[in-house]
Amino acid sequence: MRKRSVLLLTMLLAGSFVFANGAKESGSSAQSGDTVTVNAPVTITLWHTRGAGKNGEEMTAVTKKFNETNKLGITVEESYQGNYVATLAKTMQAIAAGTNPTMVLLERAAGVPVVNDAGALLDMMPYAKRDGMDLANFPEALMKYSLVDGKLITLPYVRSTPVFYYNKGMYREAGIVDAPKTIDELIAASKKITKVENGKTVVFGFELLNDPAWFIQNMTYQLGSNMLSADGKSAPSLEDGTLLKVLSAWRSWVDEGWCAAPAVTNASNALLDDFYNKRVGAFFYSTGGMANIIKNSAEAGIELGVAFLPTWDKPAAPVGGGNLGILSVNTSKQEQAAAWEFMKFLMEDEQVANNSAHTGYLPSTKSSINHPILKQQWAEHPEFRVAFDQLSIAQEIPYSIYKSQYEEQMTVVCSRLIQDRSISPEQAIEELKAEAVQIFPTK
Amino acid sequence: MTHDTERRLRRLPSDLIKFAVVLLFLFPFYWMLITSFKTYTEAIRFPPSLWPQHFNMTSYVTLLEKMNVLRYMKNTLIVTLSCIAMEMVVLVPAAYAFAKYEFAGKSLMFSLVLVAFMIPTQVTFITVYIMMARARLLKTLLPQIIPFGANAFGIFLLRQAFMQIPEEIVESARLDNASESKIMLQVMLPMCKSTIVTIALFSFVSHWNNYFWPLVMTNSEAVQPLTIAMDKLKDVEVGIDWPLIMAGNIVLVAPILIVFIFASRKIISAFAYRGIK
Repeated sequence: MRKRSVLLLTMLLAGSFVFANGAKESGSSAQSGDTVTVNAPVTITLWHTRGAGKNGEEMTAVTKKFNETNKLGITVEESYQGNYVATLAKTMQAIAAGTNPTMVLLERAAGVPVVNDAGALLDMMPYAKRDGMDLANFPEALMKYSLVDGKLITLPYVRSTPVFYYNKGMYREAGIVDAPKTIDELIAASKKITKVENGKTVVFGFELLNDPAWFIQNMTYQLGSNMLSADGKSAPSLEDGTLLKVLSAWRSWVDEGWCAAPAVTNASNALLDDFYNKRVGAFFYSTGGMANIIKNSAEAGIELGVAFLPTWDKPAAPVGGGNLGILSVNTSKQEQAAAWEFMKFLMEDEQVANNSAHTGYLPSTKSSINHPILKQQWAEHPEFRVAFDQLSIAQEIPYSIYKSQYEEQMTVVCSRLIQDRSISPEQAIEELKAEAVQIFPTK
Repeated sequence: MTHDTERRLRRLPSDLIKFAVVLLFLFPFYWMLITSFKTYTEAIRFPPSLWPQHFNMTSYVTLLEKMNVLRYMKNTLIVTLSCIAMEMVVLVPAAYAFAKYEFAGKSLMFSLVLVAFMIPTQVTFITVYIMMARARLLKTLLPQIIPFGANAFGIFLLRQAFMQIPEEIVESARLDNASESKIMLQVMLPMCKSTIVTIALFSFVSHWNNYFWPLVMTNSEAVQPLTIAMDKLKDVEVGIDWPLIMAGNIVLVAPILIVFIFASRKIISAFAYRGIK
């Protein structure tokens, strides 16, 4: 599935660049500075990635609420387009064909730079200034792909951060009181929890998913390096030895038998299933699914613990998820102004609080955490609070159009290192270096 | 030992192998069916249960509540049936001409047909999408139908079947003053019924299950087919609700199974050798 979507993306991107010249520009960001107000009923479209379930229900509900309450005659039509990869690909294709929506939900690091690089994202700064939107109200860690070169190209919407989930019962049985704060503590705890019967591991203390732009990137960051340089044009951790250190550690954890290698297909679901079946004691996972993890753990009779990610050196946590942007191509000024009204509505405390409370996504504004909806939920489930608090140590990958490609190669190499175990950490670094030469521009 | 039991014994290994193959093919369907009746907790239990503790219909109820299954089903049906109908209109005369006529450029045109079925849709979809966008057809079902009007594989298959019909039969029909369309529709077609059913069935399955094309060609729920709807049931962040996904798959697959059960005999005979009787 993943391979297929990557192929789809590549083809669509290649295709859309060919046709990109055909796109009409009715209001490019070059004309920024002038804003308009909606003066007649207008219908705008929003493409998003929020499928059925809590996610899709929230999207439908909030759109309906806006359509019914706004006094400007704006109608928003939201429609699901597939996952982040598919939505990005379809957006690029539609930009080329002149059929793109007014608004789109994009994966912040893999999607926003691609669409922005095509010059298709509206600079919302004039609107934000006109309406006095307080940009400092958004947590800084969530704004790296929103404020770019002084322009406001997106706003954080369905954002998440991974946290440390663990089975409190298992930890207690092993005599461990607190969640591990450092990697050394994680290793010690996981070794204690791991159970081997008749030479076969029946309980793994820990599992790490193969999501290198999150977990591996964060570990190299904790060690003082990063996956990408500040200008986004090179890969420091690949050169300075920190990536080798982290990959060697991960491989040794798997070799020592207390850290489960992720399943080859459908790994995140397999991991959750294993956790509910008490075959894995702890893991790193997005807060986006926290509501479900709490519910399913309770049904499986597991006392769930949630804590900050353990750290190597300096505490840090990555962020992820999707940002909302307004497209400046093939859209009229009126449509753009209408989209801005919807954007403002989504960023009001009540909508942000609902969006977070119903799904587990991070509240994307600081003021929303004082809203009664979130206050009540955090009182009932303090786990949700952990995610927001962790934002104080959050870090972000530098903005780069090379991120997706490099990440893809990291995933391939990690898969061979951890799941296949056919190469050594040193070979993994060598292979990745060979790929990096192809991906990054030569200096 | 009687002759009969000896024969049965000799057939036993082959019967066992057949039985194993049947099991191998049926098991996934069985698994899909029983999982759709389990609760989520039971669906992920290890070791897995081969029979649901309680049959619960929650997944089907959720499926119907969460999405307008009937609308998606209607779209899929319209697209699939229209595709088959259009294909038939084009492919029967084409196959007849290729099989029984001599005309200038015949081999060149036939190789074009062969080339057409070797070009993957992935190569053409961007241009087709842009064409459909310029013709303002994206809000209709047509982008999912028009490009499939000519079924190159079907033309090829039916031509081969027509070629097997002896020239004498066509000749004698002509002597009886039958028109060309009459020969094609009333003489040739009935003799190739199995091939037609096979082409229609292959076409049915491929359009019914098509995911890539509608994913690219549709932007609004009003025109999306069932396959795209099924994709919505997955949620990356919260994990997969297996019983719900399986209930969706049952709804998706059931019509194909039913059609296949009715058509299976025809298909088998299409591939079996038939001489002149």
